[in-house]
Amino acid sequence: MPMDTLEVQRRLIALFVAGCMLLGYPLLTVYSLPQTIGGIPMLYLAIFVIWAALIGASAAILHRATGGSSGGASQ
Amino acid sequence: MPHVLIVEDEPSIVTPLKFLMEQEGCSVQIVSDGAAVMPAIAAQRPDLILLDVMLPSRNGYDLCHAIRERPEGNDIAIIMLTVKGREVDIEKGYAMGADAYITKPFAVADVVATARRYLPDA
Amino acid sequence: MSTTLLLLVATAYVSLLFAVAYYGDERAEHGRSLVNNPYIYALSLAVYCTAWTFYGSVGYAATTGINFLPIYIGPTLIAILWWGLMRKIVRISAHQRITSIADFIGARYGKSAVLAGVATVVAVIGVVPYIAVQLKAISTSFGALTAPLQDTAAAGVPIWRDTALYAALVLAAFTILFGTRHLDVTERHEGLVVAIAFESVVKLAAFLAVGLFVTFGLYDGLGDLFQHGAAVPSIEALYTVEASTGAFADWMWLTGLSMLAVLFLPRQFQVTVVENVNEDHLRKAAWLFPLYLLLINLFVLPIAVAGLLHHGDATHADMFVLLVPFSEGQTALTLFAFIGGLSAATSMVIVATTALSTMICNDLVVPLLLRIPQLNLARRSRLTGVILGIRRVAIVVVLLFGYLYLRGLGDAPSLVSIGLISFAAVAQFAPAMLGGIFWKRGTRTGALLGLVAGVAIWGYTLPLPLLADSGWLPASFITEGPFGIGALRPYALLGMSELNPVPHTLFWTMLANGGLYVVGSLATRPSVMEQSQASRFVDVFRHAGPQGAAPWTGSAPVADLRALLRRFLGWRAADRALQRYRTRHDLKALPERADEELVDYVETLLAGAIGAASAQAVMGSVAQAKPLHIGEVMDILDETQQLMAYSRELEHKKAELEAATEELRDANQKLKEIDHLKDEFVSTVSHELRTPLTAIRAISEIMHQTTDLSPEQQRSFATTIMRETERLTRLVNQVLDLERLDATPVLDRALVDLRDVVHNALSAVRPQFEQQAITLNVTLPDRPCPARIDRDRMTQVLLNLLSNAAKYSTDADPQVAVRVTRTNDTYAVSVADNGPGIPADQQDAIFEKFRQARNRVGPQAGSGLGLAIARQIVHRHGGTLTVKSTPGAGATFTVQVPAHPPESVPSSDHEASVS
Repeated sequence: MPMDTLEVQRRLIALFVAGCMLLGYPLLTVYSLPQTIGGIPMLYLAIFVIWAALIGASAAILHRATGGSSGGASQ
Repeated sequence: MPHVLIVEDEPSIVTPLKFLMEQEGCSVQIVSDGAAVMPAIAAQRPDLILLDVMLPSRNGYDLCHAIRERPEGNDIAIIMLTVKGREVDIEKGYAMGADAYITKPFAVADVVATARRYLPDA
Repeated sequence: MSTTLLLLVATAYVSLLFAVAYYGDERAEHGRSLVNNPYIYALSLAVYCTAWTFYGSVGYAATTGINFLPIYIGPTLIAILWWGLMRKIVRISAHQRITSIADFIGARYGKSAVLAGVATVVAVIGVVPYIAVQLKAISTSFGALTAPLQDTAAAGVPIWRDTALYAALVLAAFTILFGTRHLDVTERHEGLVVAIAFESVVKLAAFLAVGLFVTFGLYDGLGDLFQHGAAVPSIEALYTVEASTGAFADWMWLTGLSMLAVLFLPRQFQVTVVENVNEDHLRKAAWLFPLYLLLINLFVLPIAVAGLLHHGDATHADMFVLLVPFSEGQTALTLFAFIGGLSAATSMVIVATTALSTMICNDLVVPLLLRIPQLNLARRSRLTGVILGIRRVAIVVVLLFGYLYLRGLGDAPSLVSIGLISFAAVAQFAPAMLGGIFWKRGTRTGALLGLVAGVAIWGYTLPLPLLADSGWLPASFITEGPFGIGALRPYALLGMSELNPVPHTLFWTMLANGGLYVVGSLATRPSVMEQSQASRFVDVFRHAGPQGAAPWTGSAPVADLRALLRRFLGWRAADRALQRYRTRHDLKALPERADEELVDYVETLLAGAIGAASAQAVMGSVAQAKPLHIGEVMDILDETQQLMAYSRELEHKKAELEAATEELRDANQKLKEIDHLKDEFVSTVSHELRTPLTAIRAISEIMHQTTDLSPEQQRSFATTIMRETERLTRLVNQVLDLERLDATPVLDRALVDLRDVVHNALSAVRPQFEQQAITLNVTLPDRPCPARIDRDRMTQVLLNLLSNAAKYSTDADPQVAVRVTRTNDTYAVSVADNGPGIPADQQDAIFEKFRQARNRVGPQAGSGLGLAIARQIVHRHGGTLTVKSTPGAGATFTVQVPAHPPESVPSSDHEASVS
């Protein structure tokens, strides 16, 4: 079901903020552990997994956005 | 002995009606369901029917009309006894072939006087 | 590896590129565009990934671990907001026919030629070093394979043997061919975009190929590779990040900087905005582009680790992508990687040069030429050729500048550091751009002040110290400041030495740029033109299409306009454009004298070819602009504003009136319904009252008149009177009950276990059931059934259903089944009897006030209100009360109420608190 532009906008902004937090500094030090998972360093793995999740979430939201030509308030 | 058919589904109203009719020296049969009226008439033709309107299965107007359609129906006196007291209801009652129309709650004297008018002299 | 082989491969690749671009242009000419496709669009955005990404990331990762990532994480994050932000820029640019980012800024602030010019200069200064970096990467990669592991300082090579120079010339040729084939009102280059998308595929494939080879060819997967690396402490250190404030600041600043860069780099603006054919493509591109970034970064760290393991140190880390497969003897893979690097570098150079040449032409050279009266440019015929000529020269000049920069700078800075300097330069567009699309009050003066101040500080703190590094300035300039003034040290302005150079610059420039933009804007009054453009930009989504002309545009003879268009666009394009205008406005012929709208249309068309500011200047020379004084303009504005305010008010009033009418109609409808219900209510109540009254009256009259009643008769009559009086009392109570329920819509709801309610009701009716020998079957779930309900009311409902069931239990073996079930988010409580059932035509009626199913035989003690009340209570809970029955086989009443979310199963506390 398509969402209205404002709702899409709100979700995207929330996702943006979440992304900034998850891939931002204080949290990075949390993943930055000497442990490895299957030989792969935690930090490297965490960043790429979060990164992929962000892309997936954004794709899911945008998939439900109504057509661009419909305009609507964007501010 | 004149025969009276009381068609009424409220037992508490049947009680006084039955008492009154018996006092007048009639034999009384009671039917509480609309569907049982026509068989009862066929079994024993009443001289007078006290007919309620709001009944289970079949309403009084409908029954009244049906009775008048029967060959022997014109010889039966029908008094409608009902809470439906608006003028249209009364009109309808007469149009369906009622001889008299009495609204509830009724005065006992009214019922007795009207019944006497239609009952054959004992 | 032989030079000839490399040259051959490079030539073959560039030829292929030419072919792809040519094919793309051909398809476009025949109306079967390849570009109208979100995937091609998203791939073209990957022009963001340059040689810096292809070679530099590995080099950076080899020394600093994951610190190369903010440059890609920033774009990923900002792309999440593209649907709002970039779509707005794309929409504005489509309406205004924007040709470059400088044009955008100039157009926003009252079509200011000065501002557009300054922005162009900033873009050129900022991007030329970046182009130089690409040329350097091409020549270094060439050198690394022909004479491996030697320093390939460009400065040491005679100019005619310098690969970078030849690379520059070939790229200039390509760009001229596909970037300036024709002068178009849309300024789109389909062949170019197709070629760029193709290059994006090539560089990604090449990088992934090297990554896969390193990971699975040389090692046994990622885990194995990383574990080998972990044995070396200096490599293991790359697996984690420092927890220092410095690293913290760098990461965050670079993330932010790359967000701005991906928005405002001229080449990104070119592919994202100018080359965009359908803004809906952004919907897919906003996640496909980040996905591309993710993929191309996946193997950066593994390649860096493998490179360090194989080559021992990070001296040649920038070339690990080539050197690792090369030293393993993988010639084909090495060539593929070389091609990948070449495509990364060339795509950047081609698009950046195209964008810069458009800017230089439209926003710098043409406005200047227009200002030289001797040239009388606007009156000359055949200007298309002149404009294309200017662009071609600009392309060559930009590339040569890039080359000279490369030679002048020597080999001091790495790929990444020069890239970041460019990023910081284009970040200076941020206040004017973002303010421009969201803040109407931003003015030309503010934008100009901010931009100039930002660029000045940028120049002083980033590129200038590089001159000192290269020996053009004394080293003391950096360490002690100019003339020994410590507060002016370029890497520590006012003594701020905490930050690294790029964050340091970013902090000061954003402070000065943003601050002056806001202060300057608030301190000046926007001109009429600025106000008009501001509203067209900021409110772009409020208007369905390009807005009508501003009232002061003026008028002009159509013949003049036609001539003007032909001069700038060529005959065919001009006539086609006017034809379009005629069709759109349904005109048989164009009028002799153009009105404001047509003048505005022509100006927009011209803006597409030569930029907004130049177009305005050219139009001024032809269109007889109304000789307006500022006073008149203000009058027009005031008038317009008054009119607008008036019509807004009218709209508002009309809407209010409509709403009021609607409300009245609703209220009236409701009143009618209520009236009808009330009539019905009164008539049914009176009916229900009349029945017992009739009995009481008749019997009491009889008792009064008849003196000789037998004692049994008297007793029987008295019993009837008592029963009917009780019935009256009950009736009156229920009417009052119903009224109370109508008047108090608020239920006393609490979190209750539905099973408790059922138990309560059951315990109340159990004696009655036992008396009637009714078998009771109760089925309840094992788990609590939390629901927000009014416990007393719901108990009342269940009691009603249970006593009804008991009332109609006329079977020889009466049975009543009570069952609670849960489906998804509702509970169903059902009470089933095996009595006579209810005929289908009466199943609705039994819920109406005072209607009892007359056919249900048995003691009719109910008033007929019970089910009506029960249903109303259930409705109040947002539930339903329904009946299913097959006459003769009993009836099942079902109450459905919404379940409370299961995560808040009530504890015993909750239950205790229920009143």
